[in-house]
Amino acid sequence: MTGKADAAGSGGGRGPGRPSFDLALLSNGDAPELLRQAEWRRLFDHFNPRLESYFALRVPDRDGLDDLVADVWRRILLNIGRLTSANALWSWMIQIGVNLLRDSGRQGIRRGGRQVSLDDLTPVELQELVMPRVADHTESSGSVHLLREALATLPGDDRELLDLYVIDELGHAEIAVRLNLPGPATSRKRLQRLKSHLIRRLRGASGEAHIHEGHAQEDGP
Amino acid sequence: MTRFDDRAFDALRRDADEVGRVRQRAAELLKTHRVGAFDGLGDVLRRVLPDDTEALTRVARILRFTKDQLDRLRWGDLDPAVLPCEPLAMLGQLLGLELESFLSLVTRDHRRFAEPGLQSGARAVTRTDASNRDHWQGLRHAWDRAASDIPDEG
Repeated sequence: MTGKADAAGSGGGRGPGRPSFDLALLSNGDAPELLRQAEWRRLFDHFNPRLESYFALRVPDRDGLDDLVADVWRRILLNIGRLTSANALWSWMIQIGVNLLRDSGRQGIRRGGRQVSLDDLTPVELQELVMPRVADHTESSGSVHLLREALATLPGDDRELLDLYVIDELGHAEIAVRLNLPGPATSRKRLQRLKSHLIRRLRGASGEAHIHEGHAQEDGP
Repeated sequence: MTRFDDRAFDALRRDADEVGRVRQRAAELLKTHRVGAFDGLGDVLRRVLPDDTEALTRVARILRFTKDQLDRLRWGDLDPAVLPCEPLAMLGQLLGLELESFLSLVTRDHRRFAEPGLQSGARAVTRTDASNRDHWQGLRHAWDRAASDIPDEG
């Protein structure tokens, strides 16, 4: 376990105004209760709205969304001691939520009974869903505009891979099957190349050197 | 339906803290005892679960058992094979057990129910070999599923 943690996912401490969270305090049951409670509340206040907006597109009914987010927090609370870097908090939360969606077969986003693809996403959805998965930089709405432009230039097979990864929340093993790739490692490598390409485009267009690759779900199967 | 708000979160956190204390006791116990030395999962639980009813309720609630289920599992009054796999697997992981050790402990508890004379007052459960196999398979699956929520960023 780290000491004072440096960052936290999309609220990761790497960019301006990103809070950091003290993992050691969060997971230490012997620490002063008031301090721990305050740190947990700070974490909750920071991430809960993000979790709700991230999963609201996938779980449109309010009760279902509440259940999902509560279950994500339950699993976070039970396993926080296993986390070694607060940088991974957001990606871990997403991973847990996606696992729960898989359990209930609620992957993908539907609108009007039709499966949504990257092309159909609104700027807000691009900001909430795609940016955290591609670039660890969610503050600038200008980047979303640049991302949309960058996505439009991608070849069809790369867009398909990104659709399966971001919209359908598939793991690399499943993506490999869908795209007829040799295996999960190939999918992982292709996604890595794709992310690097998009980051270069975003950096080049915005001049923002602090745009980092997002890492949500990279550890997926 | 109550919104999952900061008060609900605080309540969940207090439940998780109770599990944290159970986990600490289990870690201490497993430092000094081999898993093979225990008579079953119930034997482990008797040494690590809180006696206090409210504390036990907290542990049960966050794991999604009922207090009664967890209490009876501890005292050997309930066949683990009738419990839902997901909370049972989660409990095993929170105790710091490896899968095979966990299964061997659960199997020891279960066997006492297959030999009714050995467990006075225990709830009798009749399961076929096939349904037992299904249950253990389900338990392995639930174990893997629970493990997929554990961060592995190293």
